Amino acid sequence: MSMANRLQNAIVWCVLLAVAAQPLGATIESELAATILAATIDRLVGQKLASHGIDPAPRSDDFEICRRLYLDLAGRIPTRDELLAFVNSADSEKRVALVQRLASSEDFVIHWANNIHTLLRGERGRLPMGDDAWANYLRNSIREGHGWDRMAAEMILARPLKGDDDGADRFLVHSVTSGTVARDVSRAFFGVDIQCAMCHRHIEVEEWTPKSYWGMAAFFNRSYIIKAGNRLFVGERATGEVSFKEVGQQEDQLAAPVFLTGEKPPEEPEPVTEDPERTKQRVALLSNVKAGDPLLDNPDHYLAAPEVEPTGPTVPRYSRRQQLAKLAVNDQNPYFVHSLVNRVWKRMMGQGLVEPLDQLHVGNPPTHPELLDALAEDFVRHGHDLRHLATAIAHSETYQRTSNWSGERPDQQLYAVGMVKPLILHQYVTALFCAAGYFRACDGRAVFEENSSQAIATLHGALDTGSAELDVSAEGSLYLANSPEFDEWIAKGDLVTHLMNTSAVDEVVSMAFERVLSRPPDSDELSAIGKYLAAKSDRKEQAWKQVIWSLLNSAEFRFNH
Amino acid sequence: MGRAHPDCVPNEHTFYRRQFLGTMGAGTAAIVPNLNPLTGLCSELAAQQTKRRGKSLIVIYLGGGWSQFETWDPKPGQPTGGPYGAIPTSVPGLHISELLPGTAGIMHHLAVVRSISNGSLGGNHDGGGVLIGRPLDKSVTYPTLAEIATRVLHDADSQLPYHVELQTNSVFRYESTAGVSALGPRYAPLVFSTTEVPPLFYRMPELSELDHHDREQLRSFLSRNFLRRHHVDRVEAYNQSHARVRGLMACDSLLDVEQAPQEDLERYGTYPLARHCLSARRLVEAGVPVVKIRDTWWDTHADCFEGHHALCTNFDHAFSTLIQDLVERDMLKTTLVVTLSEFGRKPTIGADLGRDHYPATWSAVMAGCGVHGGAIVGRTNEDGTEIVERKVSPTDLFASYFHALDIDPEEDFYVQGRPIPMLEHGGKVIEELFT
Repeated sequence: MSMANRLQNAIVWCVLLAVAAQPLGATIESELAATILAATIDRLVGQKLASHGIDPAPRSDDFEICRRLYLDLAGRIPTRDELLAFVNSADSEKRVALVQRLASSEDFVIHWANNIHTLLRGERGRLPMGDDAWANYLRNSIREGHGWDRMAAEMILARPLKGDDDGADRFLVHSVTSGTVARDVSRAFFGVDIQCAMCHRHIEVEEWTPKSYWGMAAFFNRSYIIKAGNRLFVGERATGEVSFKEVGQQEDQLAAPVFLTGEKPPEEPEPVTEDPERTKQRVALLSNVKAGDPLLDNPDHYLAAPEVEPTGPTVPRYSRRQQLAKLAVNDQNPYFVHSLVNRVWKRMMGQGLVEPLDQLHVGNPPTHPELLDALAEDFVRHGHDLRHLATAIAHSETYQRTSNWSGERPDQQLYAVGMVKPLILHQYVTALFCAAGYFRACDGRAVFEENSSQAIATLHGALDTGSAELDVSAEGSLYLANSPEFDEWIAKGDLVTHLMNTSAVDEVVSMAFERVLSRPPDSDELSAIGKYLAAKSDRKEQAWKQVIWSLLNSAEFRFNH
Repeated sequence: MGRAHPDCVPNEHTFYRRQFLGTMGAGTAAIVPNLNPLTGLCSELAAQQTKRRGKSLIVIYLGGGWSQFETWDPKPGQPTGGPYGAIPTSVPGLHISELLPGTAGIMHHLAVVRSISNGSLGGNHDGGGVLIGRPLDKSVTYPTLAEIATRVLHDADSQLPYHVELQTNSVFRYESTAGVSALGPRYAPLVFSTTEVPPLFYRMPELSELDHHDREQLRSFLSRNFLRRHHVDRVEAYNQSHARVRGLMACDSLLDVEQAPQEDLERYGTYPLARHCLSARRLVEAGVPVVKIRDTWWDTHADCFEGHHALCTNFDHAFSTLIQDLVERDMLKTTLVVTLSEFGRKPTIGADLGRDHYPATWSAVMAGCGVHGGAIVGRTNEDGTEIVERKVSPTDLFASYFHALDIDPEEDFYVQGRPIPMLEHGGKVIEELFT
């Protein structure tokens, strides 16, 4: 069914439902909204393609799109049953249905928590995911459909009390600990890297001077790490200034908090001086406290004052972090909305509308300005809903194009062909487990077989190069080729057993391909594998293990395409 | 836009077009299981490599900070000078510590820089500043000298390792705490923490040589099938990393230093640093472009003199043998050998007869690749407390190494999409080293 038909259909339904005020209205409405945005994407991408006189690649076939959608929305490959059910379905709306089903699955929650983690830590950052509170926070927010504005504000405020934002402060804890908070926050939430403005005027953006860098830093200069038991919190002082010196100048200047757009928070109230008697009494109760310790601060300045035995973050009455959250996390701030939209687009499409992702400024315009604006506007209109945005992109013809292309590929910025994206580590490991047979579908969600967690951790550790993108070290490829661990792991998966128990060669080779590569073999592959197996008919099990090894290590498996 | 994506550098990786034998049947038939096909492959590859070879780098890293007083800039008779004397060298007028008699004899092949000051690179043991030639930045893992050189000097088609690191023990590695550098894991070293070859270089015994070979052929066949309609640099790079495995494995005898000729083993000696120096020579000779030796631990806050006696004695023999060997094999012309350390050691001698860190003044030597043997750069004052002539920074050293190795200092690499030049701003080639 063409996009226009689908759109028309959805509109008719929506009108009918609106009239009847059915409870199903919300689902249909969101589907309609996603379909409308998908049409906008196709229109704007199409305009640019036409202006370059390029005919885009045709639509992907069912096998191709099924694997791609599972990887992008559920973070794994489909099981063979899921794959064949989709391919064999005669439903003309089956792609829309699959997108919807995957987007509302728990796999989506887990995968997109990982995606958000990756985009926050940067392409090669080092924010560890191995923290349950952080993972739970991200998952919970996505599961509950919290908007990105709410999540960003929670992460910048970083004041976990109890309940669902318990791990919300992990990002800031990490950044404050590393001493890179102004830069990390600018990059992760606003898509700009202002590091070079620390010392001199930004090379491409006139307005960004050391005042801008230190203006961002001033929102965090009162933040500090508090250790409470085993947990770290990011406290905040009620007072404190930061000063800086521009290159070539003698005098230090005081940095006032200023956002990247030049906007400033409202004037800070003058701190009230504490009655000296009271100070004396308070201090008398404290022992071993050095000058400058937060414990000496006037508690009147705090909603949660510094404590000798802290149990949580300190919270000042006037909080610079809160001022930043108010000022920057809002719909009118183009940096905030565009940055996230650009990153979700990149995750789905393999290429940002603005590249590099953290150079979102006037000196570096998007490839499709109108499209970025349309996505941003829609994102705001739909409550900063990540799921809605990812779903809409998945519905588009632009996303669904085949990645097959003979010869030289057109400029990838034109989106004429489906992109070949390396799997990110967690997708890769999950896909390996799915293919080798440690996974089963259960209530619409794939679950690892019991006792897999140790193996997952091992494989994760062995294959983690520390790089968010694909790049293989010599040690990494030696591991895959020669590690007994990896071979034993293949041998123990149920794929070998399945293949051993099927006798017809064509059938069993197809099964192997469908399990691992999510498609049937072509005739060359069928004959090559057939010959290989025939030559080793006396050692069937050993031969199958090697076939599985080569499928798992083939380039096709390592990429989302 | 026009900027390249960091993970997608066009033409960087020419696909290793191993001749796949038409069908799998022919492929399997071509191998005789009783022979080890890898052995032949290695010598053949090594021969090709040697022919093609341009320049190479050997970095000798003295972890913990070595003392300039007990090595290259002795101050005998001064209160700061310590107990050791100075001896003349093969360079008239140049004296070095008596702890380095072997090196004194080959000094005319070396250039010494006696006026290194870390400045903003600091004096911490993370050592990163000196290893990367720029200030440390907690949010970016900058590549080390060895990694930068690897990226520029490696031949993508080579089946040999691109970068090998040999450690005398595993104390302290800047890279391991900092993570994979911004250049990516491809240029990260293969690390040997002992002289033994790690198990990953060997086929597991349960898998026959035939199966090991065939499954890679099968993998390669499937991957090329995919590549036909997905012709993307990343896919080629992925294939290449797998295609290199058997080449790497074929190097096991090269990597196993104990398989070197008896006379070499005897000449160098049996202790780890000596074995690693021999290994470095063998690797570079075979075509490995970058070898780093990490010798630890020189951090002598106490007993500096006994400590340096032992450390320098080991260093002196191994290092001078290496240089002499490179000269005899006519390899020094194309091999740059450099010593690096986090910093020097303090003029003041402490209560425990130790010397603390001293980033303000220290020394290093280098040789080969056009470096003028016998050159002396910089001068310190009488008691070695400060530099009086030709102060240089580690970034200037990097500029000079780059010059010797023909590395373009202006070439960019990308960190989170941001172009960063290989050489930190402000680094200047130390011209006296090359005239």
